[in-house]
Order: sequence, then C-alpha cells, then structure tokens
Amino acid sequence: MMTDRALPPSAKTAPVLQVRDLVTEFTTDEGRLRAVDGVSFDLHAGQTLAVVGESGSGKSVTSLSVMGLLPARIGRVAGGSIKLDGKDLVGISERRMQRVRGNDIGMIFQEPMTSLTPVYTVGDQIAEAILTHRDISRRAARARAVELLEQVGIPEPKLRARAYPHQLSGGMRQRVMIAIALACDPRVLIADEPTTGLDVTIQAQILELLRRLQAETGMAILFITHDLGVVAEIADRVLVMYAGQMVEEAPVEALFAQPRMPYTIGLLGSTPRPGASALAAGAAPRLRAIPGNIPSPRALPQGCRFHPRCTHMREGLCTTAAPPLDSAAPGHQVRCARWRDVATQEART
Amino acid sequence: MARVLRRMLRRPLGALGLLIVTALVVVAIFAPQIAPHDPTRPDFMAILQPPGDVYLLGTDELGRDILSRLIYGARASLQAGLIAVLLAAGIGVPIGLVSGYFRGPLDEYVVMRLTDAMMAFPVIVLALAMTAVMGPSLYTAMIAIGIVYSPIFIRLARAQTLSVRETEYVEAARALGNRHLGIMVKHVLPNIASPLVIQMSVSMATAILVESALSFLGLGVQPPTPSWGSMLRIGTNYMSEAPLISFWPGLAIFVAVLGINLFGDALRDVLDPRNR
Repeated sequence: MMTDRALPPSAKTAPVLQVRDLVTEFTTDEGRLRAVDGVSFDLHAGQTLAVVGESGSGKSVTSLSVMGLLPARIGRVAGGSIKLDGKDLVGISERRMQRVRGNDIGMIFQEPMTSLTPVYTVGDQIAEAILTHRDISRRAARARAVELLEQVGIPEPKLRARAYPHQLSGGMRQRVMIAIALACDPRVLIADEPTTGLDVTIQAQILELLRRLQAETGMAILFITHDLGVVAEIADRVLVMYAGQMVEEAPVEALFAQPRMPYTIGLLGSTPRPGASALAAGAAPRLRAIPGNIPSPRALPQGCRFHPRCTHMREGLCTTAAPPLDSAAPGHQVRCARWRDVATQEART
Repeated sequence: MARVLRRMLRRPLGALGLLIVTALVVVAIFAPQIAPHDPTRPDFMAILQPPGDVYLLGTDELGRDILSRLIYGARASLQAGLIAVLLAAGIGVPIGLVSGYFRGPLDEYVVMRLTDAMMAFPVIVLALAMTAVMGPSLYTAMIAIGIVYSPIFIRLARAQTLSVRETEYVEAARALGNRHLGIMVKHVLPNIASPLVIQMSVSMATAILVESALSFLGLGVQPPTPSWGSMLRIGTNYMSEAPLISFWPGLAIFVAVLGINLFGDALRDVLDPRNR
C-alpha cells in the first residue's frame, strides 16, 4: 500500500516538472540574499508534492521561481534549472513564459478573498482565462466557464457565473480560483497555501475537490503549506524546507512514521494530533514548540542552519560543517550530520 | 446604461446632480433656440436695466440681455471644463498608470520630479503663463488648463496603481499568463477608475472656475463672445449701481460646479460593483 502511494505508476515515466539545484536570490540594499538555496525535486503526473516549512523558509519563493513571477529587478533565479517536460524555463523570454503561465502551469493563491478582480463577474474572469490561451469564441468560453464552475462543485453554475466576487463566500471564491487555474487544463497546478484562512470544514471540501480533480485530469500538484494536517490529507511526497534549503524529502507515510531530520521531528511535535485514547484519558501529549525563530538570510548560522534551535546539536560537528543531503532510505533524503544517532535516541523516548 | 441612470435617480443628491448637468448640457446645445435675445446685440436704450419684462434678468453696461449671455456662456464654460479635463486625464492617466505599474528609475526620478515641479506652481499662474505665450482664446485656455491639471491625474493614477499592482488579483492575472498591457487595461484601470471619475468631476468643476478666472483676466474667451468669467469681471465695474450683473454669472458658476460635483459622486457610487 505504502509503496503504491509513494511511487505511482507514472513515476517510472519522465517527470512533468523537474527542478534541479534551484538558487533564487534577491538584491536588497544590504546586498544579495539567497532565499532558495539548492532545491531539487521531481513532480510526476497525477502526483502531489507538498512543500512544507515555516514562514520565511523559501517555500513560496520556490513556487514563484517556477512561475517566473519573482519581483522584477529584485529577485532572480541565480542557478539551477526548472524543466517542464524537459524544457528549461530558466532564462526564457517573458513572452514565452506568458504562454506557459495559466496554460501549462496553473496557480491558486492563499487569499481567495482578494485573488479575484472585484470589477468583473466570476464567469467573465474564467472566460477571460480561457481566451488568454485558447482561440475560441467568447460565447464558447462562457459556456466552458459554466462547465468549469459545475466541475468545481458550485451549485447553480449558470446563475453563479453572473455573480461578482464579493457576493460569494471564501470557499466559493477558492472554488472559482481553482476553476480559473484549471481553465486551460494545465499539466501542473501550484497551490500556494490554498486552504489557509478557510474554515476547517471548507478546507476539507477544497482538499477533497483538488484530489477529485487530480484523479480526473491527471495533473501534478505542487502544494505549498505549513499545515502538516493538510499534508497528510493530500500529499504523496513531502519536501521540508528550512532557511532556503531542503532538509528532508520523503514519501508522506515515511515522513510521518519515521521523520529523520530534527526539524521535521520538531514540526510534527508541535502539531496537535488528538488520539482518541489520549483524549479519553484527558492527557493529550503536550505540544513541543521549537524554540527560537528561523534565521534571517542575512545572518545564517555557520554549519547546519538549524543547529541553534536543535536539541540534538553537537558542538564542533553541527556548528562547523554544513551537512550534505544524505539518503536515509530509498527515496528518503535528509540533511543532518547526526540523523542515525537522532533516530536511535528518538526511538528510545 | 439605463440601469446606471435608474440607480442614480434613486439617490436624491445624485438625481439633483444629474438634473443640473443635463440642464446645463441642454442649455449649451440649444442656446440659439432657448435664448430670448441675441447675446451680442447691444440695446443702447436699455443699459444696466434691472430684471424686467423684456430682459428677464436685466441688461449689462452695453444693454445686452444677461439671460441670453448666460445661456451662451454655458457653452464656453462647459466646453472649457470638459475638454480641459479630458485632455488632463488623457495625458495623466496613461503616464501615471504605466509609471506606477513598472516603477523603476524613470518613474522615480523623471515622472515624479516633473510632476512635483509642475505642481509647485499655482494653477492660475501656470495657466496664465501658457495663455500669454499661446495668445488668449478659449482654446488656448482649455489646452493650458488641461496641461496644468495633468500632474494631478498622473499622481492619482500612479498612486492608485501602486496599491492595485500589489494585490493578489494582479498577481493571479500574471499567473494566468496575461501580458502587462492587458493587465494594465483590464485589471488595473477598472479598479482605479472610481477615484479617477471623482477627480475628473472635481477637476471639471475647478476647470470651469479657472476658465472663468482666465476670462475674468481677459485671457480666455474674447469679447463680444459671452462667458461666465468675463461677465463676472465686467460686472465688478458696476458693483454699486447694478450688483446683479455679477451676481447672475456667479450663481451660474456656483450651480454648475455644485451639479458636476454631485454628479461625479453619484457616478462613483453607482459604477462601483461593490455597492451593488
């Protein structure tokens, strides 16, 4: 079962999106900052990769790099490659990138309340998205917009197509956003915290919707989030980021069952997981917060970037040499010099 | 369009503004049919008459009918206001939009500093200098007012664009593969339109005042063509004998400015889909 979900049949074929050693830099008044430092991953059709990390870990910058939407003049991809169907997107012209955005790669954002232009009806906005990339009549685009609204589970789609964004609830708007993102049947969908700010019941509905649409269309999903509960719901593989680097990458079951990197262990420990027995006994385990904050890219610590916050830190080892990515198991990478010791220690407690 | 009108009429102040603006436009267009007398023909037998049967609002220092002159004067004032504002917005909005959308050194050091320089001058002085250079006439007055008012629109369009360009829906539009020009026209412009409409109505009202001032100073409409500003000026010479000569054009300017402002306010409320 576990291997089925970790490696879907399509995994044997070439990945739709392949990112290698991505480095993204921002030029600021205080010099160059590396927001993303050497991130690599493969995304296969029909698969969902979750990118997890705290605010400032570089997960959103990774997705903006893929979309070529880094702030002009300030941000740039300084190294590595982003290959869509084998063709590198780094360094191609803005005009060619415009043909990729919305067409090959769709994107949904964190704020469904503000991601829709307030002055047009939602039907018009979906039709507009289609007309940007497809050469069809306005009438056909409008008909397709109603179909899409139905597909994302909006009741009375014909009527709703004539609604303005402010007339819809947050969950409805996120459904509209998804309809827009899917308007041109993209191969890859980037979802940047699409459920943050929605009620829990609505969150579950949106995740269910994304899963259903993925099964129907076979698109690949890059899911950016800080919510591990959501990760467990939707992801096939998980990539954990810390201070711009990937610190662990694994199939979702392996990550939850045997996290290797102390940071991932800390993240899981700070997420409430109400077990029935613990609740019944009235003694749910205390949440363990990770002390301290994510370091600023201006002042990265020497050695392992996580060592100032790490309970397993060993002076002289973690404080001097930056640990490389190590393979803890097939398909399970970890960036920690002491992951073997950590594993035995965690097993004991 | 019919819906916009209906909703405007539902607001008392909007209805009043619409009424005044419509009346002004009708009067300006049909001036020859409405005016009881020839506005330029003097009647030397009836100089400085108070309001009466023949000349409803009285006559001026040359015995010309004040009502007819007011009616014809609406043409000059409305034209001046409308064309000046369209020119100002036509110059200002595209510059402000592009400048605010792309930012960069051109925006920061060229566009903004030039508008600063232009805004440092009092409007009247700058318009005066321009009409002095181009020669006094209604058209140079309009062009001068239009150019002098354009920095306001550059500023406003830029400032609004700066806030709209950072919104999620602009980023979403980019993520959909729209071009910059398309985003500016389809997503930014409609969302910055309401403050611009307000500014246009306010500017049109003040443009009418500036045109009146220029005509008052003899740099706008040339005699014997009537305009509210020049009528006001001539009236000041006869303040003690016939104060009504100045009162009527002053009232006309006041009502026109008020009407256009009310109209602009109502238009903004009605056009904004969030108020629907």
